[in-house]
Amino acid sequence: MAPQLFPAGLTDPTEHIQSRSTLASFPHLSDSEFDEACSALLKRFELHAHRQNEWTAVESVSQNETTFLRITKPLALHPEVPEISSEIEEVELREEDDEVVESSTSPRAVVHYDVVLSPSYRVPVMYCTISDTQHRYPPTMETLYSYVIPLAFRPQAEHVGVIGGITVTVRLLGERETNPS
Amino acid sequence: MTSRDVTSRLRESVWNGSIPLEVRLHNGDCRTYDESDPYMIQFPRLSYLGLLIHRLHAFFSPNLIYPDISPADLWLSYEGVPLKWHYPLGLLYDLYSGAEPAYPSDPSSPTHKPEKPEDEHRHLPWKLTVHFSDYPTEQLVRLDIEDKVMHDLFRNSVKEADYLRTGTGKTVMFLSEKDSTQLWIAVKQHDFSLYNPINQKLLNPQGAALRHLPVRIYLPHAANSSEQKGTSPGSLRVVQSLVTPNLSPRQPQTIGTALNQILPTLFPSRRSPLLAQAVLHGAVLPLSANVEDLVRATAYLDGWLHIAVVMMA
Repeated sequence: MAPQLFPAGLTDPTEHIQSRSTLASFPHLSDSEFDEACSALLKRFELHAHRQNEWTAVESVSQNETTFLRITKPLALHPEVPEISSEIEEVELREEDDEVVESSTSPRAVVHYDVVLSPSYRVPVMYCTISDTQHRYPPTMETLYSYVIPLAFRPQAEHVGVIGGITVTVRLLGERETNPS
Repeated sequence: MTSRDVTSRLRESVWNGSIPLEVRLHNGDCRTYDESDPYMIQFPRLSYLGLLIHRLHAFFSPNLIYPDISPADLWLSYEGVPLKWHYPLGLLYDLYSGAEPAYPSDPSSPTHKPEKPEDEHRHLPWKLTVHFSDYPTEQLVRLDIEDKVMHDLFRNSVKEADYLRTGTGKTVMFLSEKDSTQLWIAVKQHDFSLYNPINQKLLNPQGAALRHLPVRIYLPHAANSSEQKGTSPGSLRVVQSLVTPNLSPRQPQTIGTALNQILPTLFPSRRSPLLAQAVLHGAVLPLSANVEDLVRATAYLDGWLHIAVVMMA
């Protein structure tokens, strides 16, 4: 099955935005246009969340006079590996192992997708962060491509630029780029 | 002296600005606890500490408890604050060293506070600690031994500055492979003769005036006491807004007009600093300084004016 970009019931989150008259300087967004898009998506999730189980939460987070949208999904338990027969066998073998039961009871890691309006580009940019109480997933490119990026998108994301089309950076609480105007 | 001469002289002094560093090995990583020699270097303000990891690794490896550790596991701190790899040294020093910035030499200026010569150098060399364990993953990007992550961070910053200046980012995107490579080599070797020709292409996009100016403002957290919770030592608030070169056809954007627009509570006046100062390359910026002139003559290697805000006593 092709990877789903949006969970069922949220098939077109832009629909609500398109119903606005126009964006003043498309593709650039003003702060208010971005905020409006975020609340539209948030509202849709509140209405339809029960019809899907891919997204755990959608919330609007305010920090340093900036608002961004945070989408939370559980992290896939197994890394995205190409399905070749030997690996499938290995997975099946491991499932009979007692330790598998144990690992599934440990707290599950989640991925936060933070959608932020870039103050320079004036378009939404997305930061993916894995949150795990047991620190099992260091923020490396290997983690990104093994657990976060669907296998189907890996070649196009990985083979551009210096280290790939997705870059690694640090965003700390209270240390994000803000646009106060 | 023509304004062109002033610009090139200023560009030259900014390029040559440097800070003496004294880097000591963290006790926890040292075989002999505290008996290793420090690594001393005069390092350009404009450059990145991340470019030093190989030299630091080679220098300290005989003293390491685990000598086969990779240079990519190395990180630097000052008084417990992990130093960000993508911030140039000059910005880190202006933010964290506690050194008093230099004031304009006009003694009649109300902000003139001459420092005694011995005080001026009291913070020098800047004493940093190098660590080879306990990497602060939550706060620092991990580098790699081929400098690819450093290169990527730099390139993204250059692209973002170009996007602001041109509105399209095309100048950077259409740089030849040779020019892009030359720019990164110029940064790694701190070589002006390699850097300047590419920088001039970026600063003078064909047939267009600059749309916005790449300016980013860094506020130490104490300057914003309402948001203390959940912050780590040395955490900052980074502020950015669209800054146009001119407010009207006859009124150029100055540091004062820009800061007054972006941070009105800290800069209530466009003409005189009342609560805070803007510091660039260790010097207090006059609020009357023209922002476009500053971008052309004094920007960091990635094309940005990275300005530290320092509260006035």
